[in-house]
Amino acid sequence: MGNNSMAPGLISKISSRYFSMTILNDQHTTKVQVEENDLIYLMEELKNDPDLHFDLLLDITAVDYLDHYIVVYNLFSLKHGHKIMVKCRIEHENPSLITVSDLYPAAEVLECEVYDLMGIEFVSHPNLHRILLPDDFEGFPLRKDYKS
Amino acid sequence: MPRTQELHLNMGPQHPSTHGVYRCVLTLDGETVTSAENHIGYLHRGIEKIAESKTYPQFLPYTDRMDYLCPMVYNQGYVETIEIMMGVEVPVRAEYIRVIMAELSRITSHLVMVATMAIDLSSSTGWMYCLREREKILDLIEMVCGSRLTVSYMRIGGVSEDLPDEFIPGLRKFIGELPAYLDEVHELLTGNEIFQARTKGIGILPPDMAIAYGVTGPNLRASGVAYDVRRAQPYSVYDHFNFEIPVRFNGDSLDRYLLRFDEIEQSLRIIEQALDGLPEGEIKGKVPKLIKVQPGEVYHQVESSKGAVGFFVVSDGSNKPYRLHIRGPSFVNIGVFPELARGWKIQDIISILASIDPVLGEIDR
Repeated sequence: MGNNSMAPGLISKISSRYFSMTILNDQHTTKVQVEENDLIYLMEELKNDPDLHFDLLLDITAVDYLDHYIVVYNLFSLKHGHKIMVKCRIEHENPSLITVSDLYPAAEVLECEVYDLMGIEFVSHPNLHRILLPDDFEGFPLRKDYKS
Repeated sequence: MPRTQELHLNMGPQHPSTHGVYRCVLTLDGETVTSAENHIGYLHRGIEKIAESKTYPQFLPYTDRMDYLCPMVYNQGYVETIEIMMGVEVPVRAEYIRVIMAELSRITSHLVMVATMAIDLSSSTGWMYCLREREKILDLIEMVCGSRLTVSYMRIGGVSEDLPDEFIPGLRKFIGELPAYLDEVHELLTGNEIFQARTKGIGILPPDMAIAYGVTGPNLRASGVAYDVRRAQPYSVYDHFNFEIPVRFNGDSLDRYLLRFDEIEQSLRIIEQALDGLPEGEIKGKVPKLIKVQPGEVYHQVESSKGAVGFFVVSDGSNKPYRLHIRGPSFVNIGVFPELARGWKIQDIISILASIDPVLGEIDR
């Protein structure tokens, strides 16, 4: 396995500015978790700070933990060659989160997928719709309480 | 400029140039596309949900069926993810065999891309020649694992079978012959004036747009960005081999097409080195009979013929994944298609779509 984790100094540089941020690094990945209010500011900084420069949004997905959801973003920096996993915890009742598609156009299709299968609304997304399932499909199949 | 009445045209889902069941709604002004809208999901099988009810080894055959043109890489990505989570040591021989098979898969996939692009631009010659070569690789793959497309060859901890005796001479003969056949394709297809006219300068994807839309793989590298997971985040034994990451800079259909040839060349280099250095030894590491994964999560990436494949597995400690997510590169790559299609003529759309090389099995999952 290649080492693509971030320099430790870089993480503490950003973490001091986000009150809700916790660092969850393991031996494989640099991982951070923030509250939903901080997410968009953190993503903006991750993208625009020249030392971080996460220009490639690879993936967005979500996990249902029964009492809450975790939305997971995977970012990569083509310039520095480091990667980071950003997690955001959201409530289980009427889950919604701000879109990052203004920062990363790649998020448009990825957020549609999360909405389609997990039922998380992305606020101010330009065109949130069922992307894989039929428009009249009921329910969100990747939720743990989904009954087929 | 006079404008004609706006017209909506459904391209697909049953259209030969869509490479599967993909539908694109084109809005036309005369023959010019003013906007395009993707409609996907016709092949959705709910693979991520199925994974939650399968044990880790049981899920492996589903990975073949994602990108059925490049199944070995999906096998490799999946088993590596589980191996990282379990901390399994894989014997070096198995890693070498995996690399050989993955690169063979990559070549077949690129040959299909060239073949389908040829036939979409109405050259059946290009189609015949490429599929003839692909057939030979499928024979080699069949020799090893008994199956041509849905291979299910790799196992958590190694591979299912060792290479048969006749495989290595057969493969050496094939890699000796392929470059001459590819030159033939260049003579018959690439140099063709009509082919050039329909691809050169068509569907230009600027690098910043490619990055913003998360495009990976050959489509990104044809726009001048040298991002390849095999080099950027080395996995398996790719760091044992000398190979280049080919890059082209025009970002048009022709460059995306030519880049596939460059990659085939590099894949052959890797296979040659892997055959020369193939060590003796076990083909499967020590793995418990009942595969359980300790609680945790891993996001692991490999490079398929379409781009970066990501496996995200969350384990709760049982013998089934709690959540398994797969990033299909074609799913993200096709997201840039409406942007890319705008302003081009209908016949250019065919060339652009063929050059992106989407595979619907991994888009819809």
